[in-house]
Amino acid sequence: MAAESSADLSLVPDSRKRRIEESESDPSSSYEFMNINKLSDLLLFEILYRLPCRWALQCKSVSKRWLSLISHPYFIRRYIHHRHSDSQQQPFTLLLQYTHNFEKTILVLPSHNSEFFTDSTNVGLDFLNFLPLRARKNDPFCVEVEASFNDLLLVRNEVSRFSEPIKFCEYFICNPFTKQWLTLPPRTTSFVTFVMVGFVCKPYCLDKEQGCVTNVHYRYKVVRIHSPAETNTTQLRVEIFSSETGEWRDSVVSSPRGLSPFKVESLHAGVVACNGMLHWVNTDEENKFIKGFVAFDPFNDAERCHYLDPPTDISPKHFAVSIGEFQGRLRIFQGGHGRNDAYSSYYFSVWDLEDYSDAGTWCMKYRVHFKDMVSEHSEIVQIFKIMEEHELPPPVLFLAFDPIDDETVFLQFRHHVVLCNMRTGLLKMAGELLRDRGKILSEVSETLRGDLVVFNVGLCVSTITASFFSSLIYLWIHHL
Amino acid sequence: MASSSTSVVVSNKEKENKNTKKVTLKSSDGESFEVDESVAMESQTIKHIIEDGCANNEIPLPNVTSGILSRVIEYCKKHKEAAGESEPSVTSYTSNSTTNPLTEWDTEFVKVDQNTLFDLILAANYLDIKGLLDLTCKTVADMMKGKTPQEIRETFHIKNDYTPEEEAEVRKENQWAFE
Repeated sequence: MAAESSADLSLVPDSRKRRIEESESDPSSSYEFMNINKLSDLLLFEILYRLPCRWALQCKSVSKRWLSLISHPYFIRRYIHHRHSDSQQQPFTLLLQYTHNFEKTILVLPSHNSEFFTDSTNVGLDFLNFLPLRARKNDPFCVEVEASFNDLLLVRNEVSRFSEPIKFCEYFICNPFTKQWLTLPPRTTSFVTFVMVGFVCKPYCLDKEQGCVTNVHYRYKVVRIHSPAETNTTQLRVEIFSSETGEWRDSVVSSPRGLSPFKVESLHAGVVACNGMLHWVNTDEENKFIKGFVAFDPFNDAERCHYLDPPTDISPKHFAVSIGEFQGRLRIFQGGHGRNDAYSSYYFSVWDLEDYSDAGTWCMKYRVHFKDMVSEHSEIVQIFKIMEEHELPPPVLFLAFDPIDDETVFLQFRHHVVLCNMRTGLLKMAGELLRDRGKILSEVSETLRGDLVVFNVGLCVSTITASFFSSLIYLWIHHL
Repeated sequence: MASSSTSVVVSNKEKENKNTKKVTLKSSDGESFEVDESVAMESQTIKHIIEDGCANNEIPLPNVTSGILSRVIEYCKKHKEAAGESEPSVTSYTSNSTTNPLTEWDTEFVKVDQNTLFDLILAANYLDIKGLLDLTCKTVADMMKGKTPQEIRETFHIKNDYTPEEEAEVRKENQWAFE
């Protein structure tokens, strides 16, 4: 076929190219080439849907036709829908924040189709350089990535002036891809009280036709939750920033059950946004048992929160519970062991919250015994062996639930970040944390570490929203 | 649900048995292709024609040439065979369908010149074969990925109708994507 020889003209010198192109458009030539220019708009869209965001945007400068197509609201809607419809394709990046040699370090673990690029896997806060942060030397906690939603991060910067006995908290909401950001009015913060922060976004409306969120009109709340001052508190002090008012408001939230001051367990578990609500762990003051969970919906009922009892089959006592989210459901993780405390009886369990009513209905999704885990990596096998020999509990910390794969969870084994398939018990290496001056980080799973916080940064879906609609943030500014 | 024509008993009388029922597809240039009905039904378009009872003897496909139609049939046959034999494994973090045995075959299938590729896209669209449309469009998208706009223009012979100033303007608006 004559068509075949001219398929790729990129190697052909310009003058010949011109002649070939001219003959292509010559209506008298008997064979009509099928090329991209002849595709209908809809078919060109089908190709563009399958490009990662960055490349799709670059295509705007290919030609004016492409610019108008890519900028068209129909295309943008369908592009986002395409991303949503194949949940297997949604990219994400896990950011693991920790301290190394007194410096804030972040381990970046992108999924195979993630668009988040950094020079190395362990980075400092360089990727946030576009923010006007005021970092203090030797204070790795003055800048903290507090929360994430789709491709937005909530970053806290604590500033204190030596002359004044107060600290200010500045919050930034930023998109590390497009480097757009906005700042919330600063809040004064105490040196004494623990405050946990939640960040939750909700779209104004779902496009019912498409069945997915297609546009930029998100409203959001940033909630600073003050630790109850004493046990059995039913009045919780919160500060809520609402995108709709552009202001912080101090208020009090009533709880149906008594809440305890935040201990390390709660701080470690953090605040999880799920279904437009914020969730955190309530522990027993004296015994550090997990008492339950608090669920707060700042959009629909900002004056009251719900209380959820833990699952009835939860491991008691000193096993910490971690909370996360999987595809719209609150999910919890807890280590445990059988009656005899033997190494071989150690396991961990995962439950999903099925129903918020009646103080919560849970369903156990997985229980994985450590003795059943397998791995190809000699280092992991070695760690297990040593633990077994010395009859120590497995040194495992929960990091995050894989946002796409129901069966996978990220765990920390010493300084290794490991993927565990909860159905098969297979362990795979995902990354390495830097060791602090040759020492190994967290030895035992039950040692709770308040400075290791984990976020999922879901990509691409809102990235498109942000870019194509001249930024999610830009439109929020409209509302402020 | 693997194809199991060997295990199906076909009596001498003509029993209506989906596994061996055939249908004839006629290309735009008059060539006829006889295929198993189940293979032809990989195409939603053909499926509807058959289900609506309009099939009669031959289904004319005026938008598809014989060269393309034969490739499409090859695709449908292969995918029909493999359906139900493999379980796609979900490992979002580490890999992308590496356990799918058809991936290699598919990759070879789309190693064709641009014109054929676009003709396949048109055919997949007209015949409504989701897997083929997905594969061919993804292939073109992969050809674009990593190329600068100029390289894309050259690869696909697209005329640049921007002035340098206009082009710079577009780049500026989406600066981060170009870095």
